[in-house]
Amino acid sequence: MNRASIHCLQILLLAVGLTAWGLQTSRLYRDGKFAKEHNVLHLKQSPFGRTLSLAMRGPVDVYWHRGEPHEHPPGEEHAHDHSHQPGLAAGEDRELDYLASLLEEDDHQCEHEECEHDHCHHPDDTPVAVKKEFSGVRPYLLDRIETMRTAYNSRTNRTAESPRHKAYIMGEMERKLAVGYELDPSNLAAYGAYFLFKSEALARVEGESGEGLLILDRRRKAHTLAHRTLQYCWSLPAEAPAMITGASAAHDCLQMMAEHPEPDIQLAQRYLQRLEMMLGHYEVIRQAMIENGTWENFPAPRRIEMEKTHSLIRALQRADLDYWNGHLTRTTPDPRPGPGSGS
Amino acid sequence: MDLFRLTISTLMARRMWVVVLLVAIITPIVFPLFTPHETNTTLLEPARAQTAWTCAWLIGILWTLSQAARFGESNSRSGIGSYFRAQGVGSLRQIFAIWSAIMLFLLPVVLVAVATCLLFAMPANPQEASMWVWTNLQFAALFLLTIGPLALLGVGLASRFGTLIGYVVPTGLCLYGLYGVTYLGMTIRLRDDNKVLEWLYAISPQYHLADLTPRLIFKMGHLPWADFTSFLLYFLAITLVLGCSATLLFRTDPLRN
Repeated sequence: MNRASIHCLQILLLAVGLTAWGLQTSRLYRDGKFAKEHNVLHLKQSPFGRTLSLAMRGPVDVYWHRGEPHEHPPGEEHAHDHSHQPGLAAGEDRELDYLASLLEEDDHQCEHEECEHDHCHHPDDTPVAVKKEFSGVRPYLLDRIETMRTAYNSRTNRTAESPRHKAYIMGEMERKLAVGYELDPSNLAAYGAYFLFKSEALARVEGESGEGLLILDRRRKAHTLAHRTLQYCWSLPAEAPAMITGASAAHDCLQMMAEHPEPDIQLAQRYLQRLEMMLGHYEVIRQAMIENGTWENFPAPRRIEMEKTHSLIRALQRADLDYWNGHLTRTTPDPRPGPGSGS
Repeated sequence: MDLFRLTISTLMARRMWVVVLLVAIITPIVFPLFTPHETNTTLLEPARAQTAWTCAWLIGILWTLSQAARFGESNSRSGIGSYFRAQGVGSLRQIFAIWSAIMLFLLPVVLVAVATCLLFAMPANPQEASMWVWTNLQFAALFLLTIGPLALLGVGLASRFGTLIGYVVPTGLCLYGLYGVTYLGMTIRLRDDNKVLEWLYAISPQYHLADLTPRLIFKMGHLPWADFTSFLLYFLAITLVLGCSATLLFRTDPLRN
């Protein structure tokens, strides 16, 4: 076959290929086969997503503290009043501070569990040594890196934030919280922080005129988030963290519904059933794990986090039962615990 | 010595295949240990499958496509192409000789990914196990139908425009088809009034359809055979287009001659 014939054949095949590509594209597009969620390396909800979800708390913290390193003075590790936040007066934004405390809770628990850490100084400890003794190359290098990181994050601009800048920070926060949540929706802290943010924080920051509508819209979205989390956790019945997160989400769903003018009672009953079943599942799994010695495989901060949430949700469940069983016909609902308090 | 054997000998002499194979074997063993498997041992198997195939994608994109570009350029620039042409080896035979030698080195990587899934992540349930095998075989076929034509395009482009273009264009196309397209799809769903974006989305190569990793992670079972056939035809059509473009672009002689 001569060269010209080969060229013709190649062009003919190219035309056939393009036609076939077009036809198949049209068919697959029509059947909706192209629709797929954006998920780089399929990390979201994957086993690796669970690890990365925990790691996302760092970047969220940096945004929360407006880039500043979050270090308490010695003896004030438990303070969560955030009076050191630039541009925010102490106690000005309690809900936001609550969210911050939620985000930091793990870090602090971790610090208290592992008291050999250099930065952990309890109030009754001996005064902090100004100069540390040289205890090896590795600790020295780690300290140097930490010092440099602190310098990198240091803030010299003490001017109060403009509302737009604040809104930008909140937007970035939401994006990072969303990533952390999507990586592992069954992660209690990732869900809790994102839920609280959805239901409260951004509405407060951005709400100027028509704040009420904005808050309502936020709460509707928060309800959707809680519902989706509940469904996701329900598909993981053998996992204690998923059960406790699911129970928390069920309570949050009930909470959101209670604020609705005309709540769907049947849906509320289904949430109550799920809440009871998930708490029950959690208790069974925990007992089985304690018996076979695998409960200790959870890091201590996670165990504490799950146990605290379990106690809290159990208590809130009673309030939920009282409310939905006894006060459904009331026109003005009883005072309810704060939104997201179970998260 | 023909061009196929010469390319194989060159690849063997470069020894990079040793590193690639070691990475393909070791990462599915090591990486799953970074998951919280202590509290949930069932995470290990899906993590192994995910790592094995993610590793295969990375090797395909980083190594196979780069080798394709490198050989494509060196064949035309060094005079090897002219030499073989003088020996009566036409340009079509030359491009396919280079391409098949490069693809031969990708096959063990695919085999390692499939073997990892079958040996270290096989579901216990016989019905699920059968689906698992088919999912892996479907994945292998679609994976090769994605990387193969892109490697051929890399050889063709590099022979005419150099290594940089020969690597960047197929790699960009692959990453765009894997992730960019899904991002574009998300944008279109959020605002469905942009016809230009919709057209761009429709004519883009949807390589994400060839990535069956989620079906393995969540044990979704193999693709329904009708869908698999559709996907196969879709990728064969793309293969035809990329293959013809590559052979039309392929040069055996240096540009200045």
